[in-house]
Amino acid sequence: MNPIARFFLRLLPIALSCVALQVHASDLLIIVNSANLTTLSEAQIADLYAGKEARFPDGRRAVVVDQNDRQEIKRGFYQRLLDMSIAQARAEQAKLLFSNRAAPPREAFSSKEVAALVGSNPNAIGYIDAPFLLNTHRVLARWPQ
Amino acid sequence: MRVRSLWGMMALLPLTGSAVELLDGNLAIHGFGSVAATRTTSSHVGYRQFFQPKVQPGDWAFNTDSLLALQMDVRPHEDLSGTVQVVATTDHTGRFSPRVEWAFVKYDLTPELRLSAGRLLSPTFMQSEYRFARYAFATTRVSQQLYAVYPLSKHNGLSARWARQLAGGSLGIELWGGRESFDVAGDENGLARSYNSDKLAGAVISWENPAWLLRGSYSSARNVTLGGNGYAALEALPPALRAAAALGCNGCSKEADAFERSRRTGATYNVATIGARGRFGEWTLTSELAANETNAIFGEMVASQLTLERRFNDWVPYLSVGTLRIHGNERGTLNLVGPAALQGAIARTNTILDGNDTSRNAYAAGVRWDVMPSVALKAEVEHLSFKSDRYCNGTSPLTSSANCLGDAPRDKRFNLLTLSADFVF
Repeated sequence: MNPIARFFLRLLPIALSCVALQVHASDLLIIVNSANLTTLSEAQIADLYAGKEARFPDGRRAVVVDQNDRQEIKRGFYQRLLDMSIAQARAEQAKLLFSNRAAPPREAFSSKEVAALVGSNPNAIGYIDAPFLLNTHRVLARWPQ
Repeated sequence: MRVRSLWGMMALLPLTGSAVELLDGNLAIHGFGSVAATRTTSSHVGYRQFFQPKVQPGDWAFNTDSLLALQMDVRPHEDLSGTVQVVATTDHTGRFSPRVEWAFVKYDLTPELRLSAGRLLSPTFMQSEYRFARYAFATTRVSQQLYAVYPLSKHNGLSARWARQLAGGSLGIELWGGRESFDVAGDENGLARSYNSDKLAGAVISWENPAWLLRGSYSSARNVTLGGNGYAALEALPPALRAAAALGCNGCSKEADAFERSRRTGATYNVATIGARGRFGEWTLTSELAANETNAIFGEMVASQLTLERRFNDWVPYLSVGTLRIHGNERGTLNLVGPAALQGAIARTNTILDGNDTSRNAYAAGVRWDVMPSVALKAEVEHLSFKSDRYCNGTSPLTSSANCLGDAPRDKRFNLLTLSADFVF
Protein backbone atom coordinates (compact mmCIF):
# COMPACT_ATOMS: atom_id res chain seq x y z
CA MET A 1 0.00 0.00 0.00
CA ASN A 2 1.41 3.39 -0.86
CA PRO A 3 2.23 5.85 1.97
CA ILE A 4 -0.58 8.26 1.10
CA ALA A 5 -3.21 5.53 1.21
CA ARG A 6 -1.74 4.24 4.49
CA PHE A 7 -1.90 7.77 5.94
CA PHE A 8 -5.57 8.17 5.04
CA LEU A 9 -6.34 4.68 6.32
CA ARG A 10 -4.87 5.62 9.70
CA LEU A 11 -7.03 8.72 9.80
CA LEU A 12 -10.16 6.73 9.03
CA PRO A 13 -11.09 5.78 12.67
CA ILE A 14 -10.74 9.40 13.74
CA ALA A 15 -12.79 10.57 10.80
CA LEU A 16 -15.51 8.02 11.55
CA SER A 17 -15.51 9.00 15.25
CA CYS A 18 -15.80 12.65 14.32
CA VAL A 19 -18.63 12.02 11.88
CA ALA A 20 -20.49 9.75 14.30
CA LEU A 21 -20.15 12.14 17.22
CA GLN A 22 -20.05 15.39 15.25
CA VAL A 23 -16.81 16.48 16.90
CA HIS A 24 -15.90 20.15 16.85
CA ALA A 25 -12.46 21.53 17.55
CA SER A 26 -13.61 23.11 20.81
CA ASP A 27 -15.24 19.96 22.16
CA LEU A 28 -14.17 18.04 25.23
CA LEU A 29 -13.78 14.34 24.44
CA ILE A 30 -13.82 11.48 26.94
CA ILE A 31 -11.66 8.75 25.46
CA VAL A 32 -10.40 5.24 26.01
CA ASN A 33 -7.84 3.24 24.09
CA SER A 34 -9.10 1.99 20.73
CA ALA A 35 -8.53 -1.59 21.95
CA ASN A 36 -10.99 -0.99 24.80
CA LEU A 37 -14.45 -1.87 23.53
CA THR A 38 -16.28 -1.03 26.75
CA THR A 39 -19.21 1.36 26.81
CA LEU A 40 -19.75 3.59 29.83
CA SER A 41 -22.64 5.79 30.87
CA GLU A 42 -21.93 9.27 32.21
CA ALA A 43 -22.71 7.95 35.71
CA GLN A 44 -20.15 5.16 35.31
CA ILE A 45 -17.53 7.66 34.15
CA ALA A 46 -18.38 9.82 37.17
CA ASP A 47 -17.87 6.84 39.49
CA LEU A 48 -14.43 6.22 37.99
CA TYR A 49 -13.33 9.84 38.46
CA ALA A 50 -14.87 10.05 41.94
CA GLY A 51 -12.93 6.91 42.91
CA LYS A 52 -16.10 5.02 43.75
CA GLU A 53 -15.41 2.48 41.03
CA ALA A 54 -11.95 1.21 40.11
CA ARG A 55 -12.77 -1.15 37.24
CA PHE A 56 -14.43 -1.18 33.85
CA PRO A 57 -17.64 -3.22 33.55
CA ASP A 58 -15.62 -6.11 32.07
CA GLY A 59 -13.60 -6.34 35.32
CA ARG A 60 -10.34 -4.77 34.14
CA ARG A 61 -8.82 -2.22 36.50
CA ALA A 62 -9.13 1.26 34.99
CA VAL A 63 -6.21 3.68 34.77
CA VAL A 64 -7.98 7.00 35.22
CA VAL A 65 -6.07 9.94 33.79
CA ASP A 66 -6.77 13.48 34.95
CA GLN A 67 -5.57 16.88 33.78
CA ASN A 68 -3.46 19.30 35.76
CA ASP A 69 -5.33 21.80 37.96
CA ARG A 70 -4.09 24.66 35.81
CA GLN A 71 -5.84 23.34 32.69
CA GLU A 72 -9.14 25.12 32.00
CA ILE A 73 -10.62 21.92 30.57
CA LYS A 74 -10.52 20.36 34.06
CA ARG A 75 -12.84 22.96 35.56
CA GLY A 76 -15.60 22.29 33.00
CA PHE A 77 -15.10 18.54 33.19
CA TYR A 78 -15.62 18.28 36.96
CA GLN A 79 -18.44 20.81 36.96
CA ARG A 80 -20.42 18.81 34.42
CA LEU A 81 -19.45 15.30 35.50
CA LEU A 82 -19.63 15.62 39.31
CA ASP A 83 -21.20 19.06 39.80
CA MET A 84 -18.10 20.00 41.80
CA SER A 85 -15.38 22.60 41.67
CA ILE A 86 -11.81 21.33 41.32
CA ALA A 87 -11.25 21.99 45.04
CA GLN A 88 -14.35 19.99 45.97
CA ALA A 89 -13.33 17.13 43.72
CA ARG A 90 -9.81 17.15 45.17
CA ALA A 91 -11.20 17.03 48.72
CA GLU A 92 -13.37 14.03 47.79
CA GLN A 93 -10.41 12.32 46.13
CA ALA A 94 -8.30 13.03 49.23
CA LYS A 95 -10.89 11.22 51.36
CA LEU A 96 -10.58 8.15 49.18
CA LEU A 97 -6.81 8.27 48.80
CA PHE A 98 -6.04 8.84 52.45
CA SER A 99 -8.58 6.27 53.57
CA ASN A 100 -6.94 3.89 51.10
CA ARG A 101 -10.24 3.13 49.41
CA ALA A 102 -9.06 4.15 45.96
CA ALA A 103 -6.11 5.56 44.10
CA PRO A 104 -6.54 9.09 42.76
CA PRO A 105 -6.43 9.62 39.00
CA ARG A 106 -3.01 9.85 37.39
CA GLU A 107 -2.29 13.47 36.61
CA ALA A 108 -1.11 14.61 33.20
CA PHE A 109 -0.02 18.13 32.39
CA SER A 110 -1.91 18.65 29.12
CA SER A 111 -4.37 17.15 26.67
CA LYS A 112 -1.38 16.07 24.61
CA GLU A 113 0.01 14.04 27.49
CA VAL A 114 -3.41 12.54 28.29
CA ALA A 115 -3.75 11.59 24.61
CA ALA A 116 -0.38 9.84 24.67
CA LEU A 117 -1.14 7.96 27.91
CA VAL A 118 -4.56 6.76 26.78
CA GLY A 119 -3.26 5.89 23.33
CA SER A 120 -0.57 3.66 24.79
CA ASN A 121 -2.52 1.96 27.59
CA PRO A 122 -5.54 -0.27 26.81
CA ASN A 123 -6.88 0.23 30.37
CA ALA A 124 -6.68 4.03 30.41
CA ILE A 125 -9.50 6.56 30.30
CA GLY A 126 -9.05 10.31 29.99
CA TYR A 127 -10.48 13.55 28.64
CA ILE A 128 -8.93 15.88 26.09
CA ASP A 129 -9.55 18.83 23.82
CA ALA A 130 -10.78 17.53 20.46
CA PRO A 131 -7.72 18.50 18.38
CA PHE A 132 -5.62 15.96 20.33
CA LEU A 133 -7.71 12.95 19.27
CA LEU A 134 -5.56 10.11 17.84
CA ASN A 135 -6.40 7.02 15.86
CA THR A 136 -5.43 4.97 18.93
CA HIS A 137 -8.41 6.43 20.81
CA ARG A 138 -12.07 5.59 20.96
CA VAL A 139 -14.47 8.38 21.93
CA LEU A 140 -16.95 7.57 24.72
CA ALA A 141 -18.56 11.00 24.95
CA ARG A 142 -18.36 14.46 23.44
CA TRP A 143 -19.22 17.59 25.36
CA PRO A 144 -19.37 21.02 23.73
CA GLN A 145 -17.27 23.55 25.67
CA MET B 1 13.96 28.02 65.20
CA ARG B 2 14.42 24.56 63.74
CA VAL B 3 10.76 23.74 64.33
CA ARG B 4 9.64 27.03 62.78
CA SER B 5 11.69 26.22 59.69
CA LEU B 6 9.91 22.89 59.49
CA TRP B 7 6.51 24.58 59.53
CA GLY B 8 7.71 26.99 56.87
CA MET B 9 8.72 24.04 54.71
CA MET B 10 5.34 22.44 55.33
CA ALA B 11 3.58 25.57 54.15
CA LEU B 12 5.54 25.46 50.89
CA LEU B 13 4.86 21.79 50.18
CA PRO B 14 1.59 22.23 48.27
CA LEU B 15 3.31 24.73 46.01
CA THR B 16 5.94 22.25 44.94
CA GLY B 17 3.55 20.39 42.68
CA SER B 18 1.70 17.15 42.63
CA ALA B 19 2.40 13.71 43.90
CA VAL B 20 5.34 11.69 42.66
CA GLU B 21 4.39 8.85 40.33
CA LEU B 22 6.92 6.31 39.08
CA LEU B 23 6.97 2.94 37.36
CA ASP B 24 4.11 3.79 35.02
CA GLY B 25 1.97 4.93 37.92
CA ASN B 26 2.50 1.75 39.97
CA LEU B 27 4.44 3.61 42.66
CA ALA B 28 3.01 6.87 43.94
CA ILE B 29 3.93 9.16 46.81
CA HIS B 30 1.28 11.54 48.10
CA GLY B 31 1.08 13.61 51.22
CA PHE B 32 -0.99 15.93 53.33
CA GLY B 33 -0.49 18.28 56.20
CA SER B 34 -1.74 21.11 58.34
CA VAL B 35 -0.05 24.20 59.67
CA ALA B 36 -2.33 25.13 62.54
CA ALA B 37 -2.25 27.82 65.21
CA THR B 38 -4.43 27.41 68.28
CA ARG B 39 -5.08 29.31 71.50
CA THR B 40 -7.76 29.76 74.09
CA THR B 41 -9.13 33.13 75.17
CA SER B 42 -8.32 32.26 78.77
CA SER B 43 -5.01 33.13 80.40
CA HIS B 44 -5.42 30.09 82.69
CA VAL B 45 -5.86 27.17 80.32
CA GLY B 46 -4.19 26.07 77.12
CA TYR B 47 -5.34 23.81 74.34
CA ARG B 48 -3.78 20.46 73.43
CA GLN B 49 -4.92 17.12 72.08
CA PHE B 50 -5.70 15.11 75.17
CA PHE B 51 -2.77 12.68 74.83
CA GLN B 52 -0.25 15.55 74.48
CA PRO B 53 1.61 17.18 77.39
CA LYS B 54 0.48 20.36 79.07
CA VAL B 55 0.90 23.56 77.00
CA GLN B 56 1.51 27.13 78.11
CA PRO B 57 -1.74 29.11 78.19
CA GLY B 58 -2.05 32.53 76.64
CA ASP B 59 -0.01 32.21 73.44
CA TRP B 60 -0.72 30.94 69.97
CA ALA B 61 0.55 27.36 69.78
CA PHE B 62 1.71 25.81 66.53
CA ASN B 63 2.64 22.41 67.87
CA THR B 64 -0.69 20.94 68.94
CA ASP B 65 -2.60 20.48 65.67
CA SER B 66 0.13 20.87 63.02
CA LEU B 67 1.07 17.71 61.20
CA LEU B 68 2.77 16.39 58.08
CA ALA B 69 2.20 13.03 56.39
CA LEU B 70 3.63 11.08 53.48
CA GLN B 71 1.96 8.08 51.91
CA MET B 72 3.58 5.67 49.49
CA ASP B 73 1.43 3.29 47.46
CA VAL B 74 2.96 0.44 45.47
CA ARG B 75 0.99 -1.77 43.10
CA PRO B 76 3.17 -4.65 41.86
CA HIS B 77 0.12 -6.49 40.52
CA GLU B 78 -3.35 -5.42 39.40
CA ASP B 79 -4.96 -6.96 42.49
CA LEU B 80 -2.13 -6.55 45.02
CA SER B 81 -0.90 -3.32 46.54
CA GLY B 82 0.98 -2.03 49.54
CA THR B 83 0.73 1.24 51.46
CA VAL B 84 2.95 2.95 54.01
CA GLN B 85 1.77 6.17 55.64
CA VAL B 86 4.02 8.11 58.02
CA VAL B 87 2.44 10.90 60.06
CA ALA B 88 4.48 13.43 62.04
CA THR B 89 2.66 15.14 64.93
CA THR B 90 3.39 16.27 68.45
CA ASP B 91 3.24 13.04 70.41
CA HIS B 92 2.64 12.21 74.08
CA THR B 93 6.22 13.18 74.92
CA GLY B 94 5.79 16.66 73.42
CA ARG B 95 8.13 16.01 70.48
CA PHE B 96 7.13 16.62 66.86
CA SER B 97 8.04 13.16 65.63
CA PRO B 98 7.04 10.79 62.83
CA ARG B 99 5.24 7.52 63.41
CA VAL B 100 4.15 4.78 61.04
CA GLU B 101 0.40 5.17 60.91
CA TRP B 102 -0.19 2.54 58.21
CA ALA B 103 1.96 -0.24 56.76
CA PHE B 104 -0.09 -2.92 55.07
CA VAL B 105 -0.68 -5.00 51.99
CA LYS B 106 -4.10 -5.50 50.46
CA TYR B 107 -5.33 -8.02 47.97
CA ASP B 108 -8.52 -7.94 45.92
CA LEU B 109 -9.65 -11.54 46.19
CA THR B 110 -12.59 -10.68 43.94
CA PRO B 111 -13.77 -7.31 42.62
CA GLU B 112 -16.08 -7.15 45.68
CA LEU B 113 -13.84 -8.57 48.42
CA ARG B 114 -10.61 -6.98 49.63
CA LEU B 115 -8.31 -8.44 52.29
CA SER B 116 -5.72 -6.31 54.14
CA ALA B 117 -3.00 -7.21 56.63
CA GLY B 118 -0.49 -5.16 58.56
CA ARG B 119 -0.75 -1.88 60.41
CA LEU B 120 -4.26 -0.74 59.51
CA LEU B 121 -6.58 2.14 60.26
CA SER B 122 -9.28 1.54 62.87
CA PRO B 123 -12.53 2.49 61.10
CA THR B 124 -14.66 3.33 64.13
CA PHE B 125 -16.08 6.72 63.12
CA MET B 126 -17.26 8.27 59.86
CA GLN B 127 -14.08 10.33 59.53
CA SER B 128 -11.67 7.79 61.08
CA GLU B 129 -10.35 6.77 57.70
CA TYR B 130 -9.03 10.25 56.86
CA ARG B 131 -9.06 11.95 60.27
CA PHE B 132 -5.55 13.38 59.87
CA ALA B 133 -6.05 14.53 56.25
CA ARG B 134 -7.95 17.64 57.29
CA TYR B 135 -7.98 19.02 53.75
CA ALA B 136 -10.61 16.34 53.07
CA PHE B 137 -13.25 17.96 55.32
CA ALA B 138 -14.52 21.43 56.16
CA THR B 139 -13.86 21.68 59.90
CA THR B 140 -10.47 22.39 61.46
CA ARG B 141 -10.29 18.96 63.11
CA VAL B 142 -12.44 15.92 63.82
CA SER B 143 -14.75 16.13 66.84
CA GLN B 144 -12.76 15.76 70.03
CA GLN B 145 -15.91 14.87 71.92
CA LEU B 146 -16.66 11.96 69.60
CA TYR B 147 -13.11 10.65 69.31
CA ALA B 148 -12.69 10.73 73.11
CA VAL B 149 -14.93 7.66 73.19
CA TYR B 150 -12.48 5.65 71.06
CA PRO B 151 -9.21 7.51 70.48
CA LEU B 152 -7.32 4.72 68.69
CA SER B 153 -6.63 5.49 65.03
CA LYS B 154 -4.84 2.27 64.03
CA HIS B 155 -4.11 -1.32 64.97
CA ASN B 156 -1.91 -4.21 63.90
CA GLY B 157 -4.05 -6.92 62.39
CA LEU B 158 -6.30 -7.99 59.54
CA SER B 159 -9.38 -6.67 57.79
CA ALA B 160 -11.80 -7.87 55.14
CA ARG B 161 -13.99 -5.44 53.22
CA TRP B 162 -16.84 -6.51 50.99
CA ALA B 163 -18.65 -3.98 48.81
CA ARG B 164 -21.33 -4.14 46.14
CA GLN B 165 -23.95 -1.95 44.51
CA LEU B 166 -27.33 -2.03 46.19
CA ALA B 167 -30.46 0.11 45.73
CA GLY B 168 -28.67 2.79 43.74
CA GLY B 169 -25.79 3.07 46.19
CA SER B 170 -22.72 1.26 47.42
CA LEU B 171 -23.09 -1.14 50.34
CA GLY B 172 -19.90 -1.91 52.27
CA ILE B 173 -19.25 -4.30 55.15
CA GLU B 174 -15.89 -4.45 56.88
CA LEU B 175 -14.66 -6.81 59.58
CA TRP B 176 -11.38 -6.16 61.34
CA GLY B 177 -9.29 -7.38 64.25
CA GLY B 178 -5.89 -6.95 65.84
CA ARG B 179 -4.03 -5.40 68.75
CA GLU B 180 -2.78 -1.93 69.75
CA SER B 181 -1.45 0.19 72.58
CA PHE B 182 -1.86 3.90 73.21
CA ASP B 183 0.21 6.30 75.33
CA VAL B 184 -1.01 9.44 77.08
CA ALA B 185 1.27 12.15 78.44
CA GLY B 186 1.70 12.65 82.16
CA ASP B 187 -1.02 14.56 83.98
CA GLU B 188 -0.48 17.50 86.32
CA ASN B 189 1.22 15.17 88.78
CA GLY B 190 3.50 13.76 86.08
CA LEU B 191 1.65 10.46 85.98
CA ALA B 192 1.64 9.03 82.44
CA ARG B 193 -0.83 6.41 81.30
CA SER B 194 -0.91 3.74 78.65
CA TYR B 195 -3.68 1.50 77.34
CA ASN B 196 -3.12 -1.92 75.78
CA SER B 197 -5.39 -4.45 74.16
CA ASP B 198 -4.37 -7.64 72.37
CA LYS B 199 -7.92 -8.43 71.26
CA LEU B 200 -9.41 -5.65 69.20
CA ALA B 201 -12.21 -6.45 66.78
CA GLY B 202 -14.90 -4.55 64.98
CA ALA B 203 -17.43 -4.37 62.21
CA VAL B 204 -18.59 -1.51 60.01
CA ILE B 205 -21.59 -1.37 57.71
CA SER B 206 -22.21 1.56 55.39
CA TRP B 207 -24.37 2.50 52.44
CA GLU B 208 -23.60 5.49 50.29
CA ASN B 209 -25.02 7.19 47.24
CA PRO B 210 -24.26 10.72 45.96
CA ALA B 211 -26.77 12.25 48.40
CA TRP B 212 -26.57 10.05 51.48
CA LEU B 213 -24.12 8.14 53.64
CA LEU B 214 -25.50 5.90 56.37
CA ARG B 215 -23.04 4.16 58.65
CA GLY B 216 -22.88 2.06 61.79
CA SER B 217 -19.96 0.43 63.60
CA TYR B 218 -19.16 -1.72 66.59
CA SER B 219 -15.66 -1.90 68.07
CA SER B 220 -14.66 -4.19 70.88
CA ALA B 221 -11.48 -4.19 72.95
CA ARG B 222 -10.84 -7.18 75.22
CA ASN B 223 -7.94 -7.82 77.59
CA VAL B 224 -7.61 -4.05 78.09
CA THR B 225 -4.89 -3.30 80.62
CA LEU B 226 -3.76 0.08 81.85
CA GLY B 227 -0.08 0.81 82.34
CA GLY B 228 2.28 3.70 82.98
CA ASN B 229 3.24 5.24 86.30
CA GLY B 230 -0.17 6.95 86.39
CA TYR B 231 -1.84 3.64 87.04
CA ALA B 232 1.07 1.96 88.85
CA ALA B 233 0.53 4.58 91.58
CA LEU B 234 -2.90 3.10 92.17
CA GLU B 235 -1.67 -0.41 93.05
CA ALA B 236 -2.52 0.03 96.72
CA LEU B 237 -6.16 0.89 96.12
CA PRO B 238 -7.75 -2.56 95.47
CA PRO B 239 -6.65 -4.14 98.78
CA ALA B 240 -7.78 -1.02 100.65
CA LEU B 241 -11.13 -1.02 98.85
CA ARG B 242 -11.69 -4.69 99.66
CA ALA B 243 -10.97 -3.97 103.33
CA ALA B 244 -13.41 -1.06 103.17
CA ALA B 245 -16.05 -3.29 101.58
CA ALA B 246 -15.80 -5.63 104.57
CA LEU B 247 -16.51 -2.63 106.80
CA GLY B 248 -19.64 -1.66 104.89
CA CYS B 249 -18.48 0.54 102.01
CA ASN B 250 -21.12 0.26 99.31
CA GLY B 251 -19.59 -0.19 95.86
CA CYS B 252 -16.00 -0.56 97.11
CA SER B 253 -15.85 -4.23 96.17
CA LYS B 254 -17.10 -3.44 92.65
CA GLU B 255 -14.50 -0.70 92.18
CA ALA B 256 -11.76 -2.98 93.53
CA ASP B 257 -12.73 -5.53 90.87
CA ALA B 258 -12.63 -2.79 88.21
CA PHE B 259 -9.12 -1.75 89.31
CA GLU B 260 -7.94 -5.38 89.28
CA ARG B 261 -9.36 -5.93 85.80
CA SER B 262 -7.88 -2.71 84.49
CA ARG B 263 -4.42 -3.39 85.90
CA ARG B 264 -4.03 -7.17 85.67
CA THR B 265 -6.66 -9.51 84.28
CA GLY B 266 -7.93 -7.30 81.48
CA ALA B 267 -11.14 -5.33 81.08
CA THR B 268 -13.56 -4.99 78.18
CA TYR B 269 -14.36 -1.79 76.32
CA ASN B 270 -17.02 -1.77 73.60
CA VAL B 271 -18.08 1.14 71.39
CA ALA B 272 -21.11 1.45 69.10
CA THR B 273 -21.60 4.29 66.63
CA ILE B 274 -24.25 5.37 64.20
CA GLY B 275 -23.89 8.19 61.71
CA ALA B 276 -25.44 9.80 58.65
CA ARG B 277 -24.49 12.44 56.12
CA GLY B 278 -26.89 14.11 53.73
CA ARG B 279 -26.08 16.43 50.83
CA PHE B 280 -28.82 18.76 49.68
CA GLY B 281 -27.44 20.90 46.89
CA GLU B 282 -24.85 23.19 48.47
CA TRP B 283 -25.81 22.10 51.99
CA THR B 284 -24.25 19.17 53.87
CA LEU B 285 -25.51 17.88 57.20
CA THR B 286 -23.43 15.34 59.13
CA SER B 287 -24.34 13.68 62.41
CA GLU B 288 -22.84 10.90 64.48
CA LEU B 289 -23.52 9.33 67.84
CA ALA B 290 -21.17 7.09 69.84
CA ALA B 291 -21.54 5.26 73.13
CA ASN B 292 -19.34 2.86 75.06
CA GLU B 293 -19.78 0.22 77.75
CA THR B 294 -16.90 -0.93 79.91
CA ASN B 295 -16.05 -2.75 83.11
CA ALA B 296 -12.75 -0.84 83.48
CA ILE B 297 -12.27 2.05 85.90
CA PHE B 298 -13.10 4.81 83.47
CA GLY B 299 -16.62 5.93 82.96
CA GLU B 300 -19.20 5.13 80.35
CA MET B 301 -19.52 7.81 77.71
CA VAL B 302 -22.05 9.06 75.17
CA ALA B 303 -20.91 11.56 72.56
CA SER B 304 -22.59 13.21 69.61
CA GLN B 305 -21.68 15.60 66.84
CA LEU B 306 -23.84 17.55 64.39
CA THR B 307 -22.29 19.70 61.65
CA LEU B 308 -24.02 21.86 59.04
CA GLU B 309 -22.04 23.19 56.07
CA ARG B 310 -22.99 25.46 53.17
CA ARG B 311 -20.77 25.94 50.11
CA PHE B 312 -20.54 29.34 48.41
CA ASN B 313 -18.10 28.65 45.55
CA ASP B 314 -14.71 28.48 47.29
CA TRP B 315 -16.07 29.29 50.76
CA VAL B 316 -17.64 26.82 53.18
CA PRO B 317 -18.97 28.31 56.42
CA TYR B 318 -20.11 25.76 58.98
CA LEU B 319 -21.69 25.36 62.40
CA SER B 320 -21.30 22.38 64.70
CA VAL B 321 -22.60 21.18 68.03
CA GLY B 322 -20.89 18.42 69.99
CA THR B 323 -21.61 16.84 73.33
CA LEU B 324 -19.80 14.44 75.64
CA ARG B 325 -21.43 12.90 78.68
CA ILE B 326 -19.40 10.78 81.09
CA HIS B 327 -21.33 8.78 83.64
CA GLY B 328 -18.38 7.56 85.71
CA ASN B 329 -18.93 10.05 88.49
CA GLU B 330 -22.41 8.74 89.19
CA ARG B 331 -20.81 5.68 90.75
CA GLY B 332 -18.03 7.71 92.32
CA THR B 333 -19.70 8.42 95.64
CA LEU B 334 -18.28 5.66 97.80
CA ASN B 335 -19.05 6.18 101.47
CA LEU B 336 -16.11 6.71 103.80
CA VAL B 337 -15.70 3.93 106.38
CA GLY B 338 -13.01 2.61 108.70
CA PRO B 339 -9.80 4.21 109.93
CA ALA B 340 -8.29 7.35 108.40
CA ALA B 341 -5.94 5.45 106.05
CA LEU B 342 -8.84 3.50 104.61
CA GLN B 343 -10.94 6.61 104.27
CA GLY B 344 -8.03 8.20 102.41
CA ALA B 345 -8.00 5.35 99.90
CA ILE B 346 -11.76 5.61 99.40
CA ALA B 347 -11.53 9.38 98.96
CA ARG B 348 -8.72 8.88 96.43
CA THR B 349 -10.95 6.46 94.49
CA ASN B 350 -13.82 8.96 94.53
CA THR B 351 -11.44 11.63 93.20
CA ILE B 352 -10.29 9.36 90.37
CA LEU B 353 -13.82 8.44 89.35
CA ASP B 354 -15.04 12.04 89.62
CA GLY B 355 -11.91 13.45 88.00
CA ASN B 356 -12.66 11.62 84.77
CA ASP B 357 -15.82 13.65 84.31
CA THR B 358 -14.99 16.00 81.45
CA SER B 359 -18.62 16.10 80.27
CA ARG B 360 -19.04 19.11 78.04
CA ASN B 361 -20.85 20.83 75.21
CA ALA B 362 -18.90 22.27 72.28
CA TYR B 363 -20.33 24.83 69.85
CA ALA B 364 -18.20 25.79 66.86
CA ALA B 365 -18.50 28.26 64.00
CA GLY B 366 -15.92 28.35 61.26
CA VAL B 367 -15.16 28.82 57.61
CA ARG B 368 -13.07 27.02 55.00
CA TRP B 369 -11.64 28.90 52.03
CA ASP B 370 -10.25 26.92 49.10
CA VAL B 371 -7.65 29.53 48.36
CA MET B 372 -6.01 27.43 45.64
CA PRO B 373 -6.26 23.85 44.41
CA SER B 374 -4.87 21.60 47.14
CA VAL B 375 -4.77 24.31 49.83
CA ALA B 376 -7.58 25.29 52.19
CA LEU B 377 -7.41 28.00 54.83
CA LYS B 378 -9.68 27.59 57.84
CA ALA B 379 -10.70 29.67 60.83
CA GLU B 380 -12.82 28.46 63.74
CA VAL B 381 -14.12 29.62 67.09
CA GLU B 382 -15.21 26.84 69.44
CA HIS B 383 -17.01 27.49 72.71
CA LEU B 384 -16.51 24.76 75.32
CA SER B 385 -18.83 24.51 78.28
CA PHE B 386 -17.84 21.98 80.97
CA LYS B 387 -20.09 20.37 83.52
CA SER B 388 -17.42 19.77 86.17
CA ASP B 389 -14.52 21.74 87.63
CA ARG B 390 -12.22 18.96 86.37
CA TYR B 391 -12.15 20.46 82.90
CA CYS B 392 -8.49 19.70 82.28
CA ASN B 393 -8.47 16.02 83.22
CA GLY B 394 -8.97 12.84 81.26
CA THR B 395 -9.94 13.37 77.64
CA SER B 396 -10.33 17.13 77.93
CA PRO B 397 -8.54 19.22 75.29
CA LEU B 398 -7.67 21.85 77.91
CA THR B 399 -4.76 22.00 80.33
CA SER B 400 -4.19 24.35 83.21
CA SER B 401 -1.05 26.19 84.24
CA ALA B 402 -1.80 25.36 87.84
CA ASN B 403 -4.19 22.95 89.52
CA CYS B 404 -7.18 22.49 87.25
CA LEU B 405 -9.61 22.29 90.14
CA GLY B 406 -10.64 25.74 91.25
CA ASP B 407 -8.79 27.58 88.50
CA ALA B 408 -10.59 30.51 86.86
CA PRO B 409 -13.03 31.02 85.28
CA ARG B 410 -15.63 29.68 87.64
CA ASP B 411 -18.29 29.26 84.97
CA LYS B 412 -16.18 26.52 83.29
CA ARG B 413 -16.62 28.07 79.83
CA PHE B 414 -13.77 28.61 77.36
CA ASN B 415 -13.26 29.72 73.79
CA LEU B 416 -10.80 27.96 71.53
CA LEU B 417 -9.51 29.76 68.41
CA THR B 418 -7.97 27.88 65.50
CA LEU B 419 -6.36 29.09 62.27
CA SER B 420 -5.02 26.51 59.86
CA ALA B 421 -3.74 25.87 56.37
CA ASP B 422 -4.53 22.32 55.27
CA PHE B 423 -3.03 20.90 52.11
CA VAL B 424 -2.52 17.79 50.01
CA PHE B 425 0.16 17.08 47.48
